[in-house]
This record gives sequence, C-alpha cells and structure tokens, in this order.
Amino acid sequence: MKIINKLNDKRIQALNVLFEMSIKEYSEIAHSITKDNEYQRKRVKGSSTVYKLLREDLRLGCLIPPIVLAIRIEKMQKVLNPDSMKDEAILALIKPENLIILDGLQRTFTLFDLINELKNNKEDLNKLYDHPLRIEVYMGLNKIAILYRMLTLNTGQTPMSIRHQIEILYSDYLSAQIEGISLYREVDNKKITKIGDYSFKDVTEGFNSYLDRDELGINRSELLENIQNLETLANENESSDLFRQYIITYNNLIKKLDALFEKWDFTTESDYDKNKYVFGNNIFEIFTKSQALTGFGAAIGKLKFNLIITDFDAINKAIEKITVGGDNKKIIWDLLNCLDEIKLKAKNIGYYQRIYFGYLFKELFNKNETESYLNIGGAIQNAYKLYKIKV
Amino acid sequence: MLYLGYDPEYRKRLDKIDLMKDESKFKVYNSYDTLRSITVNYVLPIESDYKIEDYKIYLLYSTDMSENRIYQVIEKSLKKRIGWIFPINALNSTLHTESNNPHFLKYAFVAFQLLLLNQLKDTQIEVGNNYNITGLKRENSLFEDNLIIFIVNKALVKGLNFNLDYYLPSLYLYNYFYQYIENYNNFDIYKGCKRVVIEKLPNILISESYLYELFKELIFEKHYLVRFYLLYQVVELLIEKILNNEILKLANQLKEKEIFTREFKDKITNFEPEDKRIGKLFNEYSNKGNNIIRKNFIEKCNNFLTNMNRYNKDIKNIEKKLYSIRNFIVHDYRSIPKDKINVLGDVISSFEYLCIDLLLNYKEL
Repeated sequence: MKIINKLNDKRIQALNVLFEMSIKEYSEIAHSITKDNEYQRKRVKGSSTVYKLLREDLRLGCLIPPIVLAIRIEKMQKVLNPDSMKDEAILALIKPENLIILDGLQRTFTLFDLINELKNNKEDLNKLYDHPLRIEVYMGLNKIAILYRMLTLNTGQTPMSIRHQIEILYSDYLSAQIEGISLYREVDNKKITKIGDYSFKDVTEGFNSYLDRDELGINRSELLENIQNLETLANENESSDLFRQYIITYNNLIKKLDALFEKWDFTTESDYDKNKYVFGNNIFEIFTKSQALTGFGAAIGKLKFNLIITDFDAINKAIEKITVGGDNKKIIWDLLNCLDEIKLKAKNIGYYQRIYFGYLFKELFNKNETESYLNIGGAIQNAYKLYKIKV
Repeated sequence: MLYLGYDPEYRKRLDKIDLMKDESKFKVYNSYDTLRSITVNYVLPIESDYKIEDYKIYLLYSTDMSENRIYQVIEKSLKKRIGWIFPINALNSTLHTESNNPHFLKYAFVAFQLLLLNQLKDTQIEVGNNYNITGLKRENSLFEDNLIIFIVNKALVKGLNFNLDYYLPSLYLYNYFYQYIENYNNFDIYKGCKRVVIEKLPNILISESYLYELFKELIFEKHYLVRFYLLYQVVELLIEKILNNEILKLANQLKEKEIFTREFKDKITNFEPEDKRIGKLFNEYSNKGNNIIRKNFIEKCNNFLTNMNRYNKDIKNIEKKLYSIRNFIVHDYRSIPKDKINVLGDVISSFEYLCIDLLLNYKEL
C-alpha cells in the first residue's frame, strides 16, 4: 500500500488521499468494513449480469475505477489538521474500524465473489490478489460531509434511498441513551408496545418535518439542496442537540396526554366493537404513528419559524399546563372520528392525517389561539374545522 | 409505456417485471436489456396467486379520488364480481380499509404490474432509480395520482364480448369517467354504495356510435346550452327508434289485416309528435328506471322553472317536465339571467343521469 498523492476537497473541506494497494490488501480491509458497519448499504440484487461481466474483467486484470473510502472525524484521533499529517500517520489510520465505503460498495462485493470463486484455484487467486487498485480516502469527514459525498458520488446505477440517507444522519441516536426512550429499526423486529418506544424511521421523519416545517419532510433533491442548512444544523446541534430535544419533548407530550386521558383504552369501552376501525386503541398507539410525529414536527417547526415559540424548553413547560377541556371520552372519540372521516374522504389518507395532526399541534401550542391553546379538546375540534376549510 | 433512454429511436420499452419479494419491490426492465432496470416499491402485503396475463386493466378518471373508494365490480347480467375498481393511490398505501383484504390484494398485485407494463402515456424514467407508483413530493413517482384503475378478470367476462365502451354510461353513474375533468357538477347518487354494479348498454343500442362519442368526449363539454343539445340527442335517438318500431308494428298489423289504412294513418298521427313519443319512452320503452334519478330530475326542473317564473303546478309527469325544459332551452335560453345559469347547470347534471337511465333501461316491445 502506498500513497500516490494528496488533494484538498474544498467543498467539504477535507483531505483526499489517493492510495495504490493490492486487491489482497484492500479485500482484507473491506471485508471488515462491510461486515461491521450497519449503515453501509446492503448488496444490490438484480444487477447480476453487470457484476458477472465485471468479475470476468477482473480475472483478465482490468483496472476498475477508484473506490472511495472515508475516515469519520471521530476516528481521526483528534488530529486537528490532516493536511499536515505525515504519510506514516495516515497509513496507520487505514484500518477497517476507521473506514466507511462511500463509493464502490457493489464493486467490492463483486471482488469478494471472485475471491470466493477462486478459493480452490490458488494460482489464479494469487494473480488476482497481486493486482493493483486505486483507493481514495477522505480524511476526517463528519456525518454531513459523508452524506454529501455519498449522494454526489452516488449517481450510478444504485442510488441510496432517502430513508438510508436520513438514517445515516441520525444513526448515532440508535445506540445513544435518551432518557426513557428507545428507538428501534424495522430490522430489529421489535413490536412497539409502550410509551417511550418508537420506530426510528418515524422519529427521523418527524424530525425532518420539524426541520422542513412540512408534514412531508425533505425529499431527495431537497436533501442535496439543503445540505448547507444541514451543515448549519450540525453546528447548532453541537450546543443544543435538537434531535434529542425533539424526541424527549414529544415523549413528554405523550406521557402527559396518557395521564390526562387516564390511560384510555378502546378495548375497555362499554360498546367495544372489535370490527370497528379506530386509528389507535390508546393514546400511545394514536400518537406514535408517523402521521402524529410528522404533524408535531411540522407544527413546532412552523411555530418556531413564526417566533410564536422560542425553543423546546418552552414547549416542555407548556406541556405541563395542558388540560383536556371537556369530557375525556367524548374528546378522544372526537379525535378518532375526525381521523376516521379523513380516512373515508381523503385522496391520500396518510398525507391528510399528517396535515390534520399538524393543525392539531399548531392549535395546541399557539398562544394566540385562545380557544385551543393548551386545551386538547379545543385543539382537536379547531383543527378539524381548519382542515375542512383548508383542504 | 415506460421507456428507458431519451432518444426516441433507441429507447427501450420496459416490458418485463420481476418481484423482489425480500425487498417488497418490483424490478422493471426491457427483455433484451437486462443490464438496466428500475425498481418500484410495493407497500401492500404480497398476494401473488394471480397471473397478470389473466387480467386486463382500464384507466378511468373521477372527481372523487378518495383513497378509500375501493369497490368490487359486479356485472349486472352475470350477477357476479368481475373485478375491482379503485383509485391509483390505493396501490401505494396500507391505510385504506381493503389493505388487509386478500381478495382485493390479489387483484392489486396484478393491477400494479399491469400498470407498470401498460402505462398509456409515454413516460421517461431514469435508469437505476427507485420509484413509487404514485406519491407526494418526497417520492419519485411514476404516475399522476388522478387515475382510477378498473381491473377485470378476463375469464369471467369471456362470454360477454366485454368492451369497456359498452359500460361507459353505467360507470358514469358512479362518477367514473373516460376523460379527466375537474370540479364537475355531478349528482352524487354513487355515494355510500358498497359495490359498483355495471350494466351493459342494451344490445339494440350497441351499434349507435354516437353514444360512444358522447361518453368519451362530448359529455365533457362545459357550455350548458351545448351540453344540453348533445345530451338531448340521446332522447332524439331513442324516440326515433320508437317511431320506427311503432311503424313496423303497425305495418305488420296492416299486413296481417288486423288494422286497416285509415286506422293505420290515425295511429301514426297519434304518436308521431315528439311529445307523444317522449311519453312512450318514459311510460313504455324505458319505464323501469331509477326512481331517485327521475325524482331528482323533476326536482331540479321545478327549481329551474320556478326561478324562471315558468313553473306550472299542473305539469307533474316527467315527460312533460322534460318537454317544458327542452322548449325553454331551445326557444328562450337567451332570457336566463347570468346569475341563474347555475340553476340550469343543476338541471343538466341531473339530465345526464336521466339520459343514462333511459339508455340502460330501453327495450323495444
């Protein structure tokens, strides 16, 4: 493995080092990267012919385009200025646990396939192992820069899904402890059953709605366009962790509502009809759906943008003062009936239920709305009136 | 059709589809170019019992695109289900009431694939992208969300000589149209229905090409006067048929010497006037119509005539109401004040339904 040259990427302010290494050297590093990094994209199925062709080309000694790796900033061992790093120090950082593949994952999988194919043919395998590869490594990228480079490099055949991009952004929270809150991914196969448990995907969607002040959150091209904002957010985030605040605040709200509605449960209703459609059987089920989380995110984002609220601390204080504003059961049924009406008539049920929740939370936390401010019953009714007028 | 490539000469139609079950996606590609493909997300539970070649889809439009408007379609003469009708958004959501119904899901699974393979409008797509069938701003979507999908089981309609054109009047009653229209002033009798029961045009009317022209194009005319004339042609068509049929019947009676020349002449004179034949249409040739449609028409006519100070309480039956309206529109359209024109719009909307009702119930004696 040797360093060929070093260039500076001024857009993401990072040093890019070009290496030449043998396929053997690369495969040893890459094997662990693909195994251990849960956020590395998975193998793409269905393009087998292209990759078969590539395997054959590799056997003939073809040179493949450089594979692009990155070292995450937290793995840089507090190096303040990578530009001044000596070659030995750079080489010492080239370890699987420090690296992520930005571009070339599918090529890497193809290499593994070929190595596997040749395992009983030592001569050919050694020939392949000796073949050189060009590898670029970005030194010390933060999450935003990783995402930015992944997106801009990723213009080929297998683009990354929006969900994947968003999950990369917030991946740290999956393992982080947030007071009384657990986030689960779909692959965890964990049934969300109690207050404090959330689907990671739904929470990230809700947080994006907060950032974008829109129930639908950010789309792929906007994500690229908004990279500047995300960088600003990353800076802001260092002093006040917005994602953490967002989910803690929301969880406080659910706990408060559950207490206010005295742990209401549809299945204990006197005229309980198992076949009746209800949006959720209890407060927890109603408010952990993505429609509610995104509605909350968008509403708080809008209120903050309009300077009606200052920050999440203000909302947390307000949550303590929320009242039901009428008969508990009647109010919860008002909410379920509104959601049911939307289901019956809306062109896109999920979207319009998000819009409704957006109105609901905006009414609830907008101090200029005297009938519904911190009054959940009033907010439920006013939100539906607004919904009918505006939609 | 969905195409890959921008050069019209070299672009390739996507004509093959494979399910990637683990990922709940379809891979769509050209059968001679397996290297390039797109993937399309499928969010509904997979029920893959049915084969696409056994089904056919038709694309329609509606002014009511509620995601939950998902119905079984019953063919009236067969008295059984021949397929389903639903808005395209129902294929991209698990929030509607049929999202766990295996009967619907089997059809949805097939419709989804047929839609991808048989899109009527040419659509340019980007290789390698992941799409949704429809979607909001955050998603790459392949189709506009204003389509109604009508999927039919070919085997079930085999004996019917099934042709969508024959069913356009009947589908119109349920707010399903051949063309895209916005804000149409429809009479909403379809609301609250549990199933869509479609009915073929009577065989005696199938060769009337004007009817297809009407339901595919002319009925969407916006000017009330023009629309009335175009619709009134249905009445003209039917009463002409009545005249011919009545003359034939009399000629037969004459031939069989059941009547004689003078009576023959008197009888013809008796039913030849337009109002008399309209009476026969309502009372003899198409007398088993839908009461709601007919009552609604009378109500709208009364409202209009009252607004025009022409209401005559002695004229009660529907044929006379129609004739009064016809006379007013033909002779006095210019006297309708601008601010009352919407009242005429209501009459014409209910007249559309009446025309369909007359057509579907028409039979010669």
